[in-house]
Amino acid sequence: MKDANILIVDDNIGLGVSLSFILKKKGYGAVTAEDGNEAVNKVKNTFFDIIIMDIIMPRMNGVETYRKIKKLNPNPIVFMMTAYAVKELVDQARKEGAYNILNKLLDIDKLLDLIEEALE
Amino acid sequence: MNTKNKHGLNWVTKLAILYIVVMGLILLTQIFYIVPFIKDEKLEAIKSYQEEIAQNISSTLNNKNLEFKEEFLNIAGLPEFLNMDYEGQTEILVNYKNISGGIYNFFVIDSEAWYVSSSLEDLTPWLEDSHPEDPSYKNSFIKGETYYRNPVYFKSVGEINYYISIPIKSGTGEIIGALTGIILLNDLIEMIHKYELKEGTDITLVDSEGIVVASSSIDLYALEEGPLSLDYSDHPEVRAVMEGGNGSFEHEHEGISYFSSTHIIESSGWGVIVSTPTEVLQAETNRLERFLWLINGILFIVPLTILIIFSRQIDLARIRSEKVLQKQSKDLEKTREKKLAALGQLAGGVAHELRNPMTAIKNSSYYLKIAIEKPDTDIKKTLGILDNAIAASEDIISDILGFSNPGDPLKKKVNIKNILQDIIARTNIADNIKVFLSLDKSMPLVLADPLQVSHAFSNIILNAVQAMPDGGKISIGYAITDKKWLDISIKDTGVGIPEENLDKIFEPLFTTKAKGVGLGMALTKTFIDAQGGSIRINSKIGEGTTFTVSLPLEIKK
Repeated sequence: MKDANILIVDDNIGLGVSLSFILKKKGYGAVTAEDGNEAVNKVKNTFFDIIIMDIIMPRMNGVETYRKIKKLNPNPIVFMMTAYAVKELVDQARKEGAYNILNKLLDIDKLLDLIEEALE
Repeated sequence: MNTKNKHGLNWVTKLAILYIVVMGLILLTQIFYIVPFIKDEKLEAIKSYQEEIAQNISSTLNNKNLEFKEEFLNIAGLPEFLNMDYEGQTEILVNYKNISGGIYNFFVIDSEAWYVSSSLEDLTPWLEDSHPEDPSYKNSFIKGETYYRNPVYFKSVGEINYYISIPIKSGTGEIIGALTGIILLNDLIEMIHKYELKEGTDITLVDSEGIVVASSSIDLYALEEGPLSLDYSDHPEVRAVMEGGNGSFEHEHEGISYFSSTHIIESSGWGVIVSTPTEVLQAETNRLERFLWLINGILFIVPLTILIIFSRQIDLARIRSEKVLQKQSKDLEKTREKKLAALGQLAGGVAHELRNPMTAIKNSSYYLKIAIEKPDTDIKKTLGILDNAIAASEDIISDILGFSNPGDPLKKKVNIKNILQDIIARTNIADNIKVFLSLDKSMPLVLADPLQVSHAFSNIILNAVQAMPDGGKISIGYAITDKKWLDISIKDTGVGIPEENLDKIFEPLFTTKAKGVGLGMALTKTFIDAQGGSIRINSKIGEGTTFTVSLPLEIKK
């Protein structure tokens, strides 16, 4: 489904923007958010098919943000990104229902496959 | 400064031993030569001294109190006496009494033992009569010589006297009377009693017939019962006097051994005997000997004690300083570990942080690849360079993060053969390196984290390849030990590792390469250990290196 909307949440702007370029090139809609609060606001206004979210962020981490987003959208498809497996948070993310855990540096090809899979 | 060898003694102990040996020799010399010599010398000195005493007393008495003998003889030879002029005789006697001193009185008796004249003003009744039965008178006529009678103790008067009788001869040689005298010996006795002697020593004065005249051991004044037999003429020391000898000798009396020195008083032929039981003399030398040993003991023990204490102090100080050094080195070790841990944390943090910008770089590279429609060769190359650099950076980041926080192994049933084959497939192995995999189908599976194990073996194989820049052989085989361990050996024919580096290989930050953090082998070991296994290395310069990884087999229950 190429008109799926994807939200990328990462406090690392370059990371988010470059990923959004790739996704857009591949035909998806892609939007970036710098932190959890911005992400929640965006979710309020727009529907996203997939959310790709960094676990460790300032002010509000990925898991917290996920919980908040779930209140607005009960079943979001969430990919959690992590620079390194912080076990507790990863476990929590899984418990919350994360679709997959992605390790940075991102394997883009694998990510694109997973996105396709998730949309079906 | 090392005060003690591991198996040795400190210098003070050695000194102490030397001291003991030297003192031992000195002591032996003393026992066999020096002390006996000193004792003998001392004994000789004591004996000499005793002889000296005898001589001194003898000299003192030489002219004292015994001069009377000469005077008596002189008087008896005077012509007046021969004429038996009583008045004349009295006058002479009176004069002589005053000069001689020590003579109580003397008087003349006729040939029938009648008192004739005297120096005494008061005549004791005893002397008024003739006493022809009195041997002292009779003898003077019979003997015809100067006669001394044994000393007599006059209890009532409290004194000891000698009687002396000298015959008076006429011109024709006929004995016409006798000059008799009483000699008081008290001052003699006093002198002897007052002589300062060491305990046990006695002075005895005997006359030429062996009669004791005075003795420091007999208080003649104290005799209550009457006179003792003062005839000691059978005593050897007295005999020596009677025989006219000066000298010293040992003798026995009633089971006791004595050392006596005798000296003849020239004027009278009397003798001075100074006597000490040999036990007393020996006691004195024994005292000296004990004193010498005491000194020896002190000289021996005191420095030795000091040396021992000193030696102990040195040892204690050494132990203390060793402990301090040990503690210091332990503290250093701890500090190092802490630093390493902190560095590890820092590195981990840095690596972690690096991943974010690295991801952006990687994403960007990917995008450029898909966005540039017709990249020329150089652009393609550049994109390739980007990818390689990103991959290399990620490897470094992985190594650092892997080492600082390896993570718990997620164990699965793993086929090591597959893992190794994968590694060989994706590692850049030069053509001049041949790889031999001798892992057959019967090689058992192990329970391990595939990622960690893969990473570990990857490093080893990379090492092997790098060790053979001019080509070589990599042989991989396996063995089962004690039914508990799967030992996988990876052997190369490379340059080998020097012995001094062998135990450092697995230390973090150790590397002999120009590039690289030096975490590869440390990480390998960390990962292998995390599976419950172990790794060891064998190497010879010029021949090659063998890594052996042991992983635990599932123990079938």
